[in-house]
Amino acid sequence: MGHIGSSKSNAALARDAALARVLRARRWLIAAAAALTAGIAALVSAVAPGHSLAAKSQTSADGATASASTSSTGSGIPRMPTPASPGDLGLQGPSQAPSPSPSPSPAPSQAPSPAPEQPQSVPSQPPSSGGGGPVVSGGS
Amino acid sequence: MRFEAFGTVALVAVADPRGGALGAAVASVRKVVSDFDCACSRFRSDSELSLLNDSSGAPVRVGPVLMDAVSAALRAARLTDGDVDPTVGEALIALGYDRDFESLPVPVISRPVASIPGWRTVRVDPSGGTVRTAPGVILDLGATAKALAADRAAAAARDSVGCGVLVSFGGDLAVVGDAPCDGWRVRVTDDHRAGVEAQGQWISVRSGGLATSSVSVRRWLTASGASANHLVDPSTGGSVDGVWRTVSVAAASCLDANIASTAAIVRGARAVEWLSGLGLPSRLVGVDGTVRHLCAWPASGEDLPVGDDSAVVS
Repeated sequence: MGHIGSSKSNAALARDAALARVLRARRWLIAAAAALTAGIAALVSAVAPGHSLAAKSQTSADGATASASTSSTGSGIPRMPTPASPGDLGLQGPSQAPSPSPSPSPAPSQAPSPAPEQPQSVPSQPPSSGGGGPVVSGGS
Repeated sequence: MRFEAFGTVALVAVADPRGGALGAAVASVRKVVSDFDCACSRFRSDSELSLLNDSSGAPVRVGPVLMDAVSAALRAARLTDGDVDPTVGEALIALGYDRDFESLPVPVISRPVASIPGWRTVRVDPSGGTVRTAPGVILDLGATAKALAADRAAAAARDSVGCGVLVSFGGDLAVVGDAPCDGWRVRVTDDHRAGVEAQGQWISVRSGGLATSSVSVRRWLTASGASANHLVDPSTGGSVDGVWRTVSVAAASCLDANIASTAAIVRGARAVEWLSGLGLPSRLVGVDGTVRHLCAWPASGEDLPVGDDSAVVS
């Protein structure tokens, strides 16, 4: 009787141990599957960004225009930084370099230093006048 | 139309085939002149700049004009590695330039300058609308504020009259809108008050800005017999005594042109490579009277002898 009881007890222990191993294996399997799924998802998002269910549905509904707008504004694509203003870029050259200008003939006499509070009128220059009046760029 | 502004001759011209626009353009320009004078003059005790210079290092709330002018001056310093530095005010005072140039005594009493504080001692807080300088720092915005004013005035006048406008303050000029068919004809020379008979060159400008800096103007003799001028080398604190007498630069704006021409005077021989690298059309007149043209600056019509490229050391 004692031998038989001892055998049953050993069998039960063996069964319990086997069940415990199965449970552990199942937990590992679930964890591994979850990790593998996350890894594959990360890989796909890195290799082929910009595609989502929302984008697909919008594209199918609105055609090429919707697809273009989605690709530039959303779907996880990072926005490009705002372009730097010209002032941030440094000294900018003129859109047109100065060009040669013939000497006016005869050159009009120019008062070297007009008195303050006595403005001297220079005629407005129509576009056909070639610039007209004497403008001097010099040190000040 | 000509009138006095910023201690120089101001000129306003319009490309107006119908006529009648000049008066409105001049009114717009005068408004900008008044705004900048109230904000940026070092010689007015009631200007915002004078209040800032007397602040002993405390942050000072400033208006948009001075904020923009200080910001422009700091940008100039950054882009020129400090060769155009707004903290030279104390150096100019030490050289004797402590009042309107026309009011300077003869001879001018000068004293040595210890050092230039440097533009990095200036802090600007655009969101708070404040500017802060280190204690004792005196800002002089003359090099850049006048050019910025020309850009602003030209834009304001164009908006007012709707046609092409040229605005010049002391020979630093800004052009906006449609130019006359052959462009704006400009005589480039050493002194903006000298007139068109002075040695120089006729050119035509259609867009952007043109500025000329020269050590041949606003010069004075100190009591010690030394010659000084209004352009200070921040590395020495003294007046520039370099290889160029006059430098003219064309750029996208009068401000950029002025920054480049002023820096070129300070940089001396190094300016040739610098301006060439920037691609800015430039005319450099050496102290020996020979001239160099860089980056598509027109060659024809030049009164002065054109120097050999190899003659300027780098």
